[in-house]
Amino acid sequence: MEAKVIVDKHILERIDRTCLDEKRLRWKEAVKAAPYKLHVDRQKYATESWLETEGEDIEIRRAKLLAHVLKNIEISILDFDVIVGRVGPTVVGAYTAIDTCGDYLDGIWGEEGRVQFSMHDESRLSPEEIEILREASRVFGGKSAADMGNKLWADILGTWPQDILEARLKDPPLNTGNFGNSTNTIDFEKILNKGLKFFIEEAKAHMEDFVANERQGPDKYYFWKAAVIVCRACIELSHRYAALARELAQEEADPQRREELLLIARTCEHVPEHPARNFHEALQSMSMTGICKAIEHPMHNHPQWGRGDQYLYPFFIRDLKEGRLTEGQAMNLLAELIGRWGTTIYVDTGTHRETHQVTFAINSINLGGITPEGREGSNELSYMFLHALGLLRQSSPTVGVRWNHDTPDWLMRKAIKTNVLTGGGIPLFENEEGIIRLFVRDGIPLEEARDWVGRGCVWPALPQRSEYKCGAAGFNNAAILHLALHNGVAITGKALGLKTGDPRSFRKFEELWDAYVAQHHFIMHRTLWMANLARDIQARYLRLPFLSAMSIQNCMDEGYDTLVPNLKSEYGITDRAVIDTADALIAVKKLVFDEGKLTMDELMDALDSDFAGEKGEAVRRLCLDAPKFGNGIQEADDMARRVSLMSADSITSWDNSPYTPFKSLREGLSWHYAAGLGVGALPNGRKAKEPLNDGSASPMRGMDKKGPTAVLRSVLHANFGDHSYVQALNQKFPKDMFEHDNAVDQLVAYTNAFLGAGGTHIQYNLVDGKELLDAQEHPQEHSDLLVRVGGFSAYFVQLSKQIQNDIIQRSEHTL
Amino acid sequence: MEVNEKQIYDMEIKAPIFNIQTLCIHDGPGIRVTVFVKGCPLRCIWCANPESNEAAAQLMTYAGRCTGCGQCMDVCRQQAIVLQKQEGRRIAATDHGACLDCGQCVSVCQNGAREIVGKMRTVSEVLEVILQDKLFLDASGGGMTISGGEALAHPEFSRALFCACQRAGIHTAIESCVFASREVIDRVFAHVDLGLLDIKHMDPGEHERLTGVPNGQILSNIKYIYHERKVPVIIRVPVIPGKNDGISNIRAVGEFVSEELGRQVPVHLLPYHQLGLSKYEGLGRPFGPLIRIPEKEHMERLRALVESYGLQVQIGG
Repeated sequence: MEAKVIVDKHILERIDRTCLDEKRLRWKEAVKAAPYKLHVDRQKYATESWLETEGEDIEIRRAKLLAHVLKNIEISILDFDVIVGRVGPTVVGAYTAIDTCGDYLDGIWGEEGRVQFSMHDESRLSPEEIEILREASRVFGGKSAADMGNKLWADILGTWPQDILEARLKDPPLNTGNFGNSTNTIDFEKILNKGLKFFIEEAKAHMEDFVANERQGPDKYYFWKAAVIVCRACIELSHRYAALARELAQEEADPQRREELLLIARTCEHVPEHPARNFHEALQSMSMTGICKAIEHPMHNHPQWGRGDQYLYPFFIRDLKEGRLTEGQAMNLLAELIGRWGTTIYVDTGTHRETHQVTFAINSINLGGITPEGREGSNELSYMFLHALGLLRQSSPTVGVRWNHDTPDWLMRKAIKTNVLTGGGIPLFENEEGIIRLFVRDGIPLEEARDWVGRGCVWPALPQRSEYKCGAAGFNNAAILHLALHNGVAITGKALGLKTGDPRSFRKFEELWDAYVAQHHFIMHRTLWMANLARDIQARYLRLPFLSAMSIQNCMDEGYDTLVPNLKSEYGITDRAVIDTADALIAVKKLVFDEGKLTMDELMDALDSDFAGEKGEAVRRLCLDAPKFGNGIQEADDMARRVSLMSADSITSWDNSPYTPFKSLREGLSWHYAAGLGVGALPNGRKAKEPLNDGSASPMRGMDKKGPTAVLRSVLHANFGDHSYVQALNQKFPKDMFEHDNAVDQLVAYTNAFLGAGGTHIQYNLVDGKELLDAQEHPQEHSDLLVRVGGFSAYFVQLSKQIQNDIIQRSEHTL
Repeated sequence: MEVNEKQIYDMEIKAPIFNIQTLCIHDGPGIRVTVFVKGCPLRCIWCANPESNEAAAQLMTYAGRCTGCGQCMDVCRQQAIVLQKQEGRRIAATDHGACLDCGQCVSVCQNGAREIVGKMRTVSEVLEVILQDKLFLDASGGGMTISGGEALAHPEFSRALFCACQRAGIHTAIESCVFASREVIDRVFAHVDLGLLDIKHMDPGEHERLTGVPNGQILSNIKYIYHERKVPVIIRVPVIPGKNDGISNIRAVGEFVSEELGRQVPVHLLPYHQLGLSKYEGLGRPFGPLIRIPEKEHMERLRALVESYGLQVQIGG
C-alpha cells in the first residue's frame, strides 16, 4: 500500500470554522415544524399512465409511467433552496408506492382517511386524495410483483409462508421495498462526469447495433428504449425546475435571491443532461437524478451517497483551489443535500410502520477507505462531510467510516468528535479489511471488492452488482431455537418446523444442538428457495429502468433490468439473534447437562409457564446467572462463535447456482422488538415476547457486567468477521465522558485497537437524558451504564433518584 | 533505600478491592484499568467513595433498585432489616449498626439492591484482570492506576502489583494522598511511573479540619517523591466550594508547585461533584455537609490563577 494521502491541513482548519448559514438554519427550523405530508399526485399519474399503456412491454410501461409522473408531478422551490428537487412540494413529504408494492395502505379504506407513517406520525388526507389512492389500489392491488410472489408461494406451500411471518421466524414481508434490488447505488461518478446525454447516446448506439447486427432478445431492445425514455424524462424534470426558477426570479423583490434563482435556472438547464462543471452543479446533478430514483420506487431506500467523498472530490478541490468557492459555501451546499436526503420520509409496508419510531428513507454515506487502486482515500471532503453531519445533527443518514490500518488519525478524531455531537452512532466504523477479504474469498476481483459501499444500515455491497436482498432479509435464530425447544411448533401454536423430538427426552446437549441445526437448515433453505421463486417471478411484474440505467454499467452494456435475475448479482441474508441463541444454548448446556442443576423437565416447565410462580422464578435466576456472552467468559464466547458459524454455513451451503452463494450480513436495525414477539421464554432468562438484543453482537441487556472492554474481548474471541460480513456492535457511553479532547483521543485508540484486532463493526451511542430517564424507570435493563468521573466509581442505576436527576439534567446541556 | 529489582514479589498478597474498572480515561494517560482498594487514613468530609474509607467489607444497599419484596428480611439473623415506606413505596431499610455485613441478604436479593462492597483479592488475580485489557492499554499509551481508598494503606500489595505490572510492560500510576511514612513511600514509589498526588489544602490547620490529618508530611512527601525518587507527578486539587476554593489557598497551591516542585509539574483542578452522596445512604451513614458544585466561571478563574504561576492547568482529571 502506498503512503498515506497528504491533505491540506489549512483546509481542514478552515472547515472546522464553518457554520450553517442563515438559509440552512431556516431550513432546519422549518423541518422541525413541518407536518409529515403525504403527496398523492405521483400515485395519480402512475395509475393514469398504467391504464394507458396496457398491453405494452413491462419495461416500456414502467419507463412511461415514470416519464408521465415526472412530467406532471407538482414541484416547488422553497425560499431556502439552492439545490432543488425534493419528494413532494412541501418541506417534508412522502409518496406512496402502491404501483410497486400493491395495496399496502390499510388506512385508506377506512372512513377517516388516515395513513400512518410510523409509531408516532400520521397524515390526514382529503376525500379526493383518498379516492386517488383507492383507485391505485384497485388497479395495482393483487397484481404487484410482491402479490404475485405471495400467490406463487401460496400455490406451492399453502399458508406456510404467511405462518412463518406471523411466527416472526422471518421478517419483513415480501412487499417491502427491500424486495428486489431497489437499493442499488447510483453511479454518480458517471453521471457527474458524463451527463445523462451520454447515457442516452449509449443506449441509442446499442439499439442501432441491435438492428444493424440483427441481434436477439426483445428484452434488451426494450431495456435500451426504456433507458432513453427515463433519461429524457429526468432531463425534462430538471428543465421544469429551471423554468420555475426563472418564473420565481421575475417575481422576486430581493435582488440577491433573484440572482440565486437565476443561478438555479442556469444550473438546472445544464445538469444532469451535461457533465457537471463545478461542485454546485455536481450536487444539483445528484439531487435531480436522486429524486427520480426515489420517485421511480418510493420505498425504504433513498439514493445512496456511496463514496461521495471520492467522486465529488475533484469538483470540490478544483473550486476551492481556483477560488470559486470558500469552504463555508461548499460546506453549506453539501449540508443542504445531506440534510434534505436525510429528512426524506416514506410510507412503509406492514410491521415497519407500527414498530419504527421515525420513517426516514434510508440513505448512507461512506467515508474514507481504500480506493480500487489500493490507496487510502480519505481526503478534505471526507472531513467536510463529517463536519456538516456534526452541524446538522440528524439521525439519518447512516454514515460509515471505512476503517483500515491506514485510516488517518485526523479523520478518526473528527469522526469521534462528530459522534459526540450527534450522539447516536454517527458515524459508525466498519473494518473494511475484513469485508474486502470476504468479498475476495467469495470470488470478487480485488479491485472491485475495494470499491464496496455500505448501504442501508451497515450492509456491505458492490456498486456494480444488482443487489438481491431475498425479499426479506431477516431470519430469527432465536425463533428457530424456539422450534427446536418445542418439537417444531412455533409460538403461534402452529407446527412450522421439523419434528426434531421432545426436548424433555434429550439426554445430551448435542441432541438439542442437532435439533436446532436441523430446524435452522429446514427454515433457512426452504425460505431461500421461496425467495428465489419470488425473485424469478417479480421481474415479470416490475422493472426499474431508471435505477438500472443509472447504477450498473453491465445493465446498460448488456441491456437488462437490474430486477431480472442475472449473474452479476449479490445475495445477502441477515441471520439475526445469534447472541440470544448462544446464551440460551450455553445455559441449557451448563445447567442441565454439565452441572445437573436442573432437569430438562424442570427447565421446560419453567419456559412453558414463562417462569411463573416461585419455582419458575428460581429457575429464571439460575438461567440469568448462567454464563453470558460479553463478559470475556470463554465458554459463552465459544458458543456464540459456534452458533454464528453454523448459521453462516447454513446460509452459504444452500445451492444458489448459477448465481453467487447467499452470504451472511448481520445488520442491526430496530427489529428486536418485533422479532422478540415470536420467541417464547428462553433459557438465557429472557421472558416470552420480550425484545431480543439490539445490534447483532450486543450482549443481552444488563448482562454485560465486566465493562465495555470485556464486550469487545468477547466479540474478538468469537471472531465473527471470519464468516459474516458484518456483526453490528453498539456500545453506550455517557455523553459527558467525552467533553475533553483527551477523551476523544482515547476513544480513537479504543476503536483502532478493536478494529485492528479484527472487530467488524462498532458504533457508539452517547447516552442522553432521555435514555437515562428510561434507566431510572427500568434499572434492570440498564445495569451496565457507568458514571465516569476521575477517581469515582458507580453504576448509574445504583445512584439515588436525586443524584440521577442531576446527571440527567447535566447530560441534557452538555452540548 | 536500595531496591532489589530481582527480589521476588509475593503474588499472593491480598488487599480489599471494591472495584476494578476498565476503560478509565481520567486516571492518568491513555486508557487505564483502575483498581480501587478499600481503606484510607484520611476522612475528607466531601469523600465521593465513602465505601472506601474502611478496609473491611461492608454491606451497601441501593434503595432505587429495591422492590420491597422482603426476602432479605427473612434471612437476616440480626433482624437488622425492616420494611419501611419511603417516597410512597415500600423498601427494605437496613440498620447498619446492627448489621454484621455477613452478606446473607445479598444472596437472596433478586434485584441487585444489596451488595457486599470489598473483597480480598490477590495480586495475581488483579493482574489477570488488567492483562485482559492490554490491547487497549497499549493502543492508547495507557496503563493501570491504583486508586481508592488509599493505595499506600496497603503498601505491600500495591508494591507487588505495581512491580508485576511494570514487568508485564504496563505503565503504572498511583492516585494518592501520600499520607504515609517515608519507608512506605520508598517501597511503593520504586515501581510507580506516575504519581497523581492530591493537595487538599495548603494550611495545616484547615487540612486537619477537613481531612482529619495535618498536611506537613503530605507536602514533604510530594517534594521527596518528585525530587528524590524522581517520579513524575501531577498535582490534583479537589475544588470544594467554601472549603478550599478560596483565592488564597489556590494561590498557595500555585506557589508551592511552581517553587517547591517546578513549572513542568501539571496541576489538575477537580471540581467537586455530588455523585457520591447516595453512597452514604447506602452505607447507612449520615451525609457530610451539603456542598454545592463549583460554578464553571469560578473554575476558570482558578485555572487562570494557577496558570499565572507559569503552570499547566487542566480542569478535571
